[in-house]
Amino acid sequence: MSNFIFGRYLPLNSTVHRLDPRSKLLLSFCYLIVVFLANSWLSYAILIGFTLAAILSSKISLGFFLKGLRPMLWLIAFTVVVQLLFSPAGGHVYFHWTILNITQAGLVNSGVIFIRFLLIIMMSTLLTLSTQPLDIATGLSSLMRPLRWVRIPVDTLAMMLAIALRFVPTLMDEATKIMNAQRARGVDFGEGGLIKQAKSFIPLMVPLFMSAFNRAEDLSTAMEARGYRDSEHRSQYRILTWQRRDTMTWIVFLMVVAAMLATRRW
Amino acid sequence: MENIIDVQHLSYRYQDTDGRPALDDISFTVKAGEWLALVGHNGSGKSTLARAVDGLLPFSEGTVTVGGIKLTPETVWEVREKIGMIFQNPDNQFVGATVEDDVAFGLENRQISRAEMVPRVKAALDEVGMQTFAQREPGALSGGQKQRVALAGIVAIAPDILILDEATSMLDPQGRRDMLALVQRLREEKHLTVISITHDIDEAASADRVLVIDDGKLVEEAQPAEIFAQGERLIHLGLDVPFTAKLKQALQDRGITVPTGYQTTTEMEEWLWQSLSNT
Repeated sequence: MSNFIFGRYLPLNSTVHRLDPRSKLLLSFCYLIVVFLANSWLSYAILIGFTLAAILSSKISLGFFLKGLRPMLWLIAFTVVVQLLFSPAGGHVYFHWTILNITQAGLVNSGVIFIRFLLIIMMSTLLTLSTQPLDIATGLSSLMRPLRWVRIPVDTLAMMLAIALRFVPTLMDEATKIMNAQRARGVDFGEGGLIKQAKSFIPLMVPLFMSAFNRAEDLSTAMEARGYRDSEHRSQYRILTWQRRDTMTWIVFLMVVAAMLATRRW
Repeated sequence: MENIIDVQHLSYRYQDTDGRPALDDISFTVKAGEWLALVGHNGSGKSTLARAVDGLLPFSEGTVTVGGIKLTPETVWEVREKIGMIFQNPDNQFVGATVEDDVAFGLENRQISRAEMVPRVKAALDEVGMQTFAQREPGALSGGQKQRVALAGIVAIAPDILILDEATSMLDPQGRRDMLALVQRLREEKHLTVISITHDIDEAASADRVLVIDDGKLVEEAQPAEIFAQGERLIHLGLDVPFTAKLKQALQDRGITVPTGYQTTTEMEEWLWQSLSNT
């Protein structure tokens, strides 16, 4: 179960891994917009080239990216097929049956959708494969810092996020222990109909919640004993430093964006 | 020597109980540099007492004075500066995502600059022998290692008083011994005053003085040797006789012949297997 969310990070020592998480988060976000701005084949070729270069410099094998693609496969296939069959008329008609048309425009559209999906998934997979969840959390809270001016308690939210991440493995272990204990008492997890399956999770959830509340109480006492008052008046041990490689990465990225904009149809 | 902790006529009632006080008119003092053990049954009020001293419970009757400062809602943070506390469950007091983050937690709360934090975290980890684990996540540590990290977190903020709230009760015998040895060493090096709340006989034996608490009342105050001389009564006082000894006693009470002398858990297990397969 823990592989589902957290086994994704691959600890390697590549340039991509060592980039500032803020830099990676912002870049991924900008990339999302850029992908939707591209419209000519050449502009897509440039973006594909950039994505491949990013993947190669992360030293992560392509297999992991294909694995990241798998859960999205049905969504992609569905969107591509809908685009293919229901596109407005345009260009040569290859196939026609009642309301279904396969036209040249439809083919092009579905190809574009497919490439967009692929690029976005590849890039976000690269972000999660090369960045620790904790670094993502630190990066996010650092990027959200300006929101403090509109009275959003960014530091408190960051502390909550960090503690939540810290306790995920602990609670996962606990869930496994409880499941084993309940199995030993004859509970079948994941058997029978949907309702029966859902019911079988009650003997897991009740003790798990009980224990989580107890832990929360212990934790708050321990935090208070260690001098925790509020999240605003604290110094930071973990800091993020913007380095030369971050600046270089952005220069490359902006050049790619410029090339893409130059080659797109206006 | 001067009294570093002075508790006078302290009483406390939990709101949700039947009105029976969790602490009932408790008075005692602790000298600077002393090691004091608090023993008593589960629910006797010994943890409540420790929490009251650290200002974690808002008691209404009595006074607590720590290092010359009277504990009030205004001075509670000042008092906590002087006290480091380690709790029972190693997991539930590990706040940071990694070992070094956790050691830094107390320093961050005191708004100490990062430039000063880095060497202090490193020195504290050196002190407890966990420097090679600095980047590790808590999931990769044993219970004993987590408690050592908790100790490092306290060493980093350099308090005068260390309170161990059943800090060794979830550790295995080896982890317990290591932890106690480490506390002994730190106490000598840093001139710490130690209050340990415990069921463990070895931990109580390390103390200079033992306070026995029952039903929220202070029932006895003595040297460890005097307490141990009471033999059978130890169990009544809430100290743990080793598990194998308790098991043997229970078997004997049911008319089963058990081997004499002391057995380790493994030896006892072996003996149980053999006697079971013979029947």
